[in-house]
This record gives sequence, structure tokens and C-alpha cells, in this order.
Amino acid sequence: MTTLGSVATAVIAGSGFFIVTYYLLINAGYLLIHALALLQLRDNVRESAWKPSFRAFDSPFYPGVAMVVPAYNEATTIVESVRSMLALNYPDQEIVVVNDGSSDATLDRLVEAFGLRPVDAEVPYDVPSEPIRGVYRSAIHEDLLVVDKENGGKSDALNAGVWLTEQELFCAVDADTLIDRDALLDVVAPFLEEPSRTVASGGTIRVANDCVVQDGQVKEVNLPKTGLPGVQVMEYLRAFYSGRLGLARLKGLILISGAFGVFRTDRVREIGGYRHDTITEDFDVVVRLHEHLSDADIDYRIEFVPEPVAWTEVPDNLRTLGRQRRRWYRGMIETVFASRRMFFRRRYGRVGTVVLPFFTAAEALGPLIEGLGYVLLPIAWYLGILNVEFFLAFLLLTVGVGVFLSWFGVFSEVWSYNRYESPRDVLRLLWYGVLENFGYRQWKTIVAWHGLIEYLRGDQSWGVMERRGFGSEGETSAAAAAAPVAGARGDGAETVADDSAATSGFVWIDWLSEAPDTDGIRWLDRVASDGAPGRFVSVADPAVGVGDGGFVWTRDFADGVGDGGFVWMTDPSDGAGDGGFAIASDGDGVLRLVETADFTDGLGDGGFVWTTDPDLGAGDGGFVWTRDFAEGTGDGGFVWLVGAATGGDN
Amino acid sequence: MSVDPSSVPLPPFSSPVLLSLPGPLSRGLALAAVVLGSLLLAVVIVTVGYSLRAARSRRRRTPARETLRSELLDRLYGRDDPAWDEWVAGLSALERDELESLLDVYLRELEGGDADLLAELGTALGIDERARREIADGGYWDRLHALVWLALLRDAPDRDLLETRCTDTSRERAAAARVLYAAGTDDCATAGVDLLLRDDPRSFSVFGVDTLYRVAERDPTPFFERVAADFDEWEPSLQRQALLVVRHLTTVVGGADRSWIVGALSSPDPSVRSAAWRALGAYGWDRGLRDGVDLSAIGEDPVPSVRANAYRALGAWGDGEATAAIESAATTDPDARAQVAAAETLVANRGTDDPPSRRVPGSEWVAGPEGVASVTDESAETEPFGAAWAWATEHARFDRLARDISAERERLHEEVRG
Repeated sequence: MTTLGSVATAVIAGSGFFIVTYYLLINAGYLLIHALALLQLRDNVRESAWKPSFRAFDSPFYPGVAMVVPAYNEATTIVESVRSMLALNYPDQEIVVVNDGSSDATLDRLVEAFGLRPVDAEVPYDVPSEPIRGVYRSAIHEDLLVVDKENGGKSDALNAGVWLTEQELFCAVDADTLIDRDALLDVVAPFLEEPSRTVASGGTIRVANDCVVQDGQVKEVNLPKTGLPGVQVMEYLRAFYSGRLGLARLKGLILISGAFGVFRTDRVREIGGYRHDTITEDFDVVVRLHEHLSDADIDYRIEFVPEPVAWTEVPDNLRTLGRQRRRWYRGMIETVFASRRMFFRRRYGRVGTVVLPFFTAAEALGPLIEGLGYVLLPIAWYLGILNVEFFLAFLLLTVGVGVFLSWFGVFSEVWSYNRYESPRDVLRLLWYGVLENFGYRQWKTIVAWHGLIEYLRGDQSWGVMERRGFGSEGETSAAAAAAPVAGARGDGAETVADDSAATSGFVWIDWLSEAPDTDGIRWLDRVASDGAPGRFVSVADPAVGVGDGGFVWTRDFADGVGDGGFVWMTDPSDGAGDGGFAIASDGDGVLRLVETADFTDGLGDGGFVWTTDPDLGAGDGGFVWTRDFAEGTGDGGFVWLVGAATGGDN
Repeated sequence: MSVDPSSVPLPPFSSPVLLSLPGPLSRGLALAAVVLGSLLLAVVIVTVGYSLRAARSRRRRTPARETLRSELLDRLYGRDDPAWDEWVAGLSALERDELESLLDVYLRELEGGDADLLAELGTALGIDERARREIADGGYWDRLHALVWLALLRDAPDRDLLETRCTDTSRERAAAARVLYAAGTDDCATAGVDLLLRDDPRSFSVFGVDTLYRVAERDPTPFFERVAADFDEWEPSLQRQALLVVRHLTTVVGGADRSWIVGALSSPDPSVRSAAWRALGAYGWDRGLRDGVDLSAIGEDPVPSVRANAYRALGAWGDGEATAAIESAATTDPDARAQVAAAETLVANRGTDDPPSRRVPGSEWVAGPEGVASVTDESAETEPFGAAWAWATEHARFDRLARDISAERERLHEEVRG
């Protein structure tokens, strides 16, 4: 017992030392980066204040830019987005919209609005993407090209756009991002200043929640009225005005937001375009550009320009935010792991020797170590080896440094571009910098650990991104409420979640299932939305039912095409969503599955809920969606058969 | 199993820190807390202070700006004599500052007599004198801003001042040459090219290239003389920019030495070779220059983008010899993008009804229905130039369609207006 206790104490005490030392080093690094950011911001402000006396539209030397817009199920917003992009101030611009196998009317809307006509010729290039179904050009706008392709995810869609443009530069932009009218002119500034060396340039992303939007432009900048988006405003300011500026100062910018970044087209083609097997393609492509250009011994620069602004809507609830952050975390780990050969190698300059190792230690490991600390604290206290005085001092210092770094970002914004004009808003931002340390920060460590587990399990889903859309005059537009994140991976179920359908079975299932496979979602969508009578039938061939698959029983959810399955539980809140499916009898005595948050509505003592962990259920497995029934433990599975009067279990 | 904390001996390395704080550590923590607290206080005071100051400034400036704008436009367009001096004399410091800002906006937008009148307002505000002082005595950014003002006011300072104070960086050189161009001085081309390209020049920004192009448009001779003399000594990026200027020049260059353009086709840097081809596109009329180009060697360049630009240059020449050379090289070009570039130039020159014909083993190009090339041999159906031709033909059709619709729309607008 004594020996065990000694070991436990030694481990905990050693961990304590490690955590304290780690925090001292990381915070010192952060402070250095933020100080460098201030210098960089000063230079950027000076640069942007100097406007040479020539007119962009009169000059034949501006590089052409293709706006590459991946679009997956963007029917409600795509026309407005394209109109907004066509109205951007830029002398030589092309819009390439890539319809990534949308299952809604995205393409029809574009055809209708812009007089699209099919190009009656095969694409003569080898494009590293899923098959291209057709290319369309507008009879009205000479510079609009629409590519219709099979679903392959955002990276895949971007590649199609990058390969089908002849412009010198391309701007990767999300279809639901609002771009300031002059933002493109501003973000290409590094390419104008050093045309030969610049290969990529990123702008600032800001939070559009509660801003007044008119004609695809942010007309009035407001701080979100609610806390969660407000804290994210502060986070974005800290990330862009402190983090990225500091890294740019170090010549080590490794992340350009996928929502708004400009790249040299030929350089991205040289590295084979965007990787398909990553979920944070924006991070990955910049790191690989660093790697490729350093390997080829090419003099280059990758810049961050703080003033050009694109606006995005951020999640306003923890569930959606958690999904987004878990995806970011998994993508970060993926990219860090994929670029491991660059670590500590002088060949890759500061990116390899300083930035990537620091980034990994701070951003990838930081939340995990912090989470570990929260676990160790009560144990250390229980074991009596926690010095409360020291702990409080340490806590005060770490929180203080966190607040300082956050305030630094707010200060940078106020000192430079001052978009939040009201001092009251500035005070609120400062308050959010304090507030995030109590609850939100701890929650993020849980999210990071969750993300790590998902990464280790090979989860590649995007997760559902619910957006309310940008309404005119600050009001949420119901029509735009269905906008999903742009160009999301189809296999990650980036699905429509509009307010009008909030009570429908489809949306509810969507939320419940976290991030199931799109095909499963579409199939369930038909079940719920068509209203056609039917039931689950036990069959051997999945092709006989509605959709291209069905449910099989399995003990390993990796057998399915999604990241989870349905298990039987007595408490619906134990699942990933807010409810589940209970077996209920309709008026005709036919048993059906109905969605409910209260299992007492149904027969039996429980119902099916969506989860990623089969062990949570009452049985020794659960149902997963698959296209191959051989994946399951039995000889067959369950499909939905429209009009089936009899058959297997409900 | 449970652990009794009281029975567990603490490892020696942990106890000093975790159980009791030694004096130095305690003092260190206290010091860190004081420093951090001070920093936090400073940041919050400065941030809120800046915000309040900015808000106050906006409250004062916004209405003043609107009043000044109205008055400015009234004096510019509503009176015979704007009486700038009289107006400026009655303005406060804040109003003068705001008026300068407005002047900056309008000087960038207006041309001709309106711009000349506004330049007089700049003089009334004393901007020209201040700019000269800043060029003579100011720092880097002061000089750059001063040069922009002088360019906007079309007011060239002494050459000596420009040559002694404004040649440290490519940016300053460009800004200085721009002043001469904007002011329309007689020696704009000579002095401008000298400012830009003398003494080991580095590559320019787009603004610099545009300025070089503008001064060379005034009189291309100094530019061509300088480039012919120094081209080989420049870094590839600057070589590329000089060739880019040549490509866009529309002024007749007479008997200037242009052999360096042909020489650049042999550069080891593919981007320079590409730029040289594009530059040559503007000189299809110059038989002497053309004779120096080996058209049969186009297909031998190992870089597809160079070959593509060669096709574009020959397409710009547009005569039978050039298009035959494109056809000869492009139909066997292994790169799809180069083929598309060639097909586009052929379509532009010969129309969509005249696809290239050539013999390939086991097949023959023929003009297919609707002018789209096809091959007679099934085994050669994947012949890539056919795909390139079809692609180029379709896009040419759409380009025409969009332009026709735009022209028709414009015509209707004119009818409505007229």
C-alpha cells in the first residue's frame, strides 16, 4: 500500500512539476508571439495607410484571381453569395463555383439565376477530384464558371476549382462567407508588393452574428448579444490579431483560413492540390506549401494581412461549437502528425525549428495537459500533496496571463482598425476575456480530449454545422437559416438544419445523430419527409429497401459507414443527441419507430438512441448503417420498405 | 483499495514546491503577480482609452466631414472662383485635417480641369510645401506619403531632391518616378527610367511595374536603351518585369534595340522565357525580331507553361506562318494545358470551323460536325488535342455569347438614355 501510494504521489507530484514548467514555457512563448504581433500590426497599419497614386482598374498588371467557391447543399444562399462575389471590387476576377454533389437544388438555383448553359466538351485536364459531371458557363456573366461534380468533400471541390481556372491566383472562400467589398483588393496586397515571392496570403475572419447585413455586405458591425458568440469574437480577435500576426512576423504563418485565403494557383497544383484525407484542409495546404517550397529551395513568403475582412457566422450553442472545435482539433492533430518530418529541421526554417514544435506543444498538447491538470488537482488535494497557496498563486497567474493575452487581441483591434466602435462593446470584449477562463476554457479541454479520442478512432466526419444565416438589418433570415458550412464533406453529414424544419423528423434526427453518414441521413430524411407509409423489414439484400443501404447489428460501430449507431437505452439523454426513437403503436395498431425525448411514450422500457460507443447500450452492440450487410454480425439487416404491410421488426 | 494520504511518504523532489513555498519562490510569484497585474491594468486603461478617444473623434469628425464635402463640391462645381485660400483660412485644425482626407479621395477619382482645381486646394492647404519639406527632412514613411501627395497634386519637386532622397528602396523609386509621370514633366521618361532602373535595381511591386510602364509609354526609348544595356545583369524577377512592360507597351518604339527580348528566350529561368514569349507577342510585325526566333524549337522547351505562352505569342502574331507553327507543335504537345492554350489561339485566329488537321499513326484529323475535330480511327479517339480543341471552341462560343449579350444590353441602355 505504501509503495503504491509512493508511486502515485511521485507520479502526481512529477506531473505537477511538468505542468507548471510547461505552462511557464508556453506562456512565455505566447507572450513573445503577441509582442511580435504588435510590431507586425504597427507595420501593417503603416503599410495599409500608404496608398500609392494609381488606380487598380487602370493597371494591366494586377494578377487575375479566381474565387473558388465549394458549395454543398447551399441552395438557399448560393445565388446571393455569387452575386455578392461578382460585386467585389477587383479588376480581373473570375468566380468558379463547384457544386460538390449537392442533393438539394444548388445547381438549379445557379442555372436559373445566372443563365447557365452546359459546356459541351469534356474537361481536357486530369483533375484530381471526384468525376466532373459537367461544366457550365453563364450567358450573362462572362467570368462565372460552375463545375458540377460528384460529392467528394471540400478539398475535392477546391481541387476541381483550382484545376479548372487559368487565373494566376485563386481565393478559397466558403459559400456562406461574407466578404467586404474591397477585401480582395486588400488581401492580394502581398502579391502586389512582392509578386515573385508571395505564394499565399490570408485575411482576417470576423464574427457576423448580430451584424447588419445588406446585399451580401456587412453594413453595421455589432457585437453579438449573447455570451457564446461574444466569447468567440474575442477568440477570433486573439487568434488573428495576435496569433497569426505574430507567426507572420516570425515568417512562420502555418494557417490561412479556408474561409478566405489567396494562393498562387501553380504552387498549389505543384503540391497536388488539397489533400482529400484531412478535415482541416486549410491548415494542411499551408504546411505542405512550406514543406514543398523549402524542399525545392525556393525563396517565398506566406503573409497575413489583418485588414481585409471576411465575415462568418459562429455557432451559438455549445453542441455545435463542440463539434466544430473537435473537428478543428482532429484536423490539427492530423496535420501535425503528417508534417512530423519537418520538426526541428533547419531546412524548413522557423516553421520547422520553432513554429511547428511550439504550435504542437501549445495548441495540440496544451488543452490535453490542462485537462490532465484538472484531473490531478483533486487527487493531489486528496493525497495531501497540494499546496493550496501555491495552487492559488499558480491559478491566478495562468488565468492572469490568459486574460492578458485575450486583452492584447482586443487592444490590437481597437488600436488598429477599430471595427467595434462603441467603447461599451470594447468593455464587453474585455469582460469576455475574463469570463472565458471560468467554465469555457475548461470545457474546451474536454472538447480537446474528445477530439483526440475521435482522432484515434479514425473519425473523419465534419459534424453538423447549424447556422442561422445572415438576415438583413440584423434580423435572422428564415430563408437563409438552412445554410450549412460551405463545401462540407458529404460523408460527414453537413446537412441542412433550418428553423422551419426544426420540429421535423429529419432535422431532429440530424441533431441526434451528431455526424452520421450523409447517405443515412438522406435516407432517413425520406422516411420522415416523404410521409410514405413503410416499415423496417428484415432482409438479406440491402438494395431492396429505400436508399442504398440499411441497418445491421454489430458490436463494432466501425463496421458502419458513419461514426456511430443506434443502441437500446432506457434514458434518451444518454445518447449523443437530445432524444431517441421509441417503438410506438399508431392508430391502426401498427408498430412504428417514433422520435421522442421521452421513452415512456413508447413500448418497452426504452428506445434507440444514437451514440458512438456501442458499450453504452443495454445489449452488447447496436445498429449501424451500412451498404454491405456482411458487415453485420447476422446474415442480413433491416431496410425501410415503403408500403410494406408485413415484415420484420419495427 | 484506498490510499491513506497521511501514510504516504512524499517524494523528496516534490515536497519543497508542493507543500511549502520557499521564500524566493514565494517572492517570485508575488513579483510575477504584481507585474502581471500592472500589465493588465495598463492594457485595460490603454484599450478603453483608445476606444473612447476614437469614439469622440468619430463624433466630431463625421458631421464635420459631411459639411466639408458639401462645401467642397459646391465650390468646385457651383462657383466660377472656388476661393480656396479664403475658405481654408477660416477652417479649424480638425477641419483642415478632414479636408485633406477628402481631397485625397477626390484627387484619386477626378481628372482634367476638376483635378487641377483641386490641386489648387492642396496648395491652399500647404500640402505641397509640407511634402517638399518631408522629402527633404522626413523619415521613410513621411517621404513616401509626401511623394503620393505630390503625385496627386501633379507637382514635381526638384530632380536633385528626388535623386538624393528617394532612391533607397524600389518603392521609393517608383513613388518618385510616379510624381514625374503625374506631373507630366518633359523629362518624365528619361528621369523616370533613371530613377527606377539605375544603380543595381531590384524587382518592383505592381505599382512599380505600372509606373515603369507609364513612363515608358510616354517615350519608350530611354526604357529600351536601359534594358538593352543592363538586362543580363538583373535578377530574373526584374527581367520578367521588364518583359512584362514590353508586352503591354503600345507606343511605337522605332529602331530601339530589342534583341534582348529574343535573347531572353534562352534564359535558364522558365518564367523569364515565358515572359519573353508574351513580350514577343506584341512584335509580330517586326520581321527582324521574328527572324531571330526559331519557331520549330517551340515544342522542345521542357516546361509546359513556356510552350503555352509561346503558342499565345504566335497566336498574337496571327499570320499563316505562326498558326502553322502552333499547329505543328501543339498537336503533339504532351501537356493538356499547353494544348488548350494552343487551341484557344487557333480558335481565336481561324474560328471554330477550321480545326487543325494532321496525321497521327492510324488516324486522321478531320473537321467533325459543327467544326469540332474528331478522329477517324476509333483507337485514337482519346487523342488529347481533340479534347483541347472542343474545350477551346466551346469557351470561345460562350465568350462571344456573353459579350453579345453585354453589347445588346448596353445598346438597349443607350436607346433608353438616348
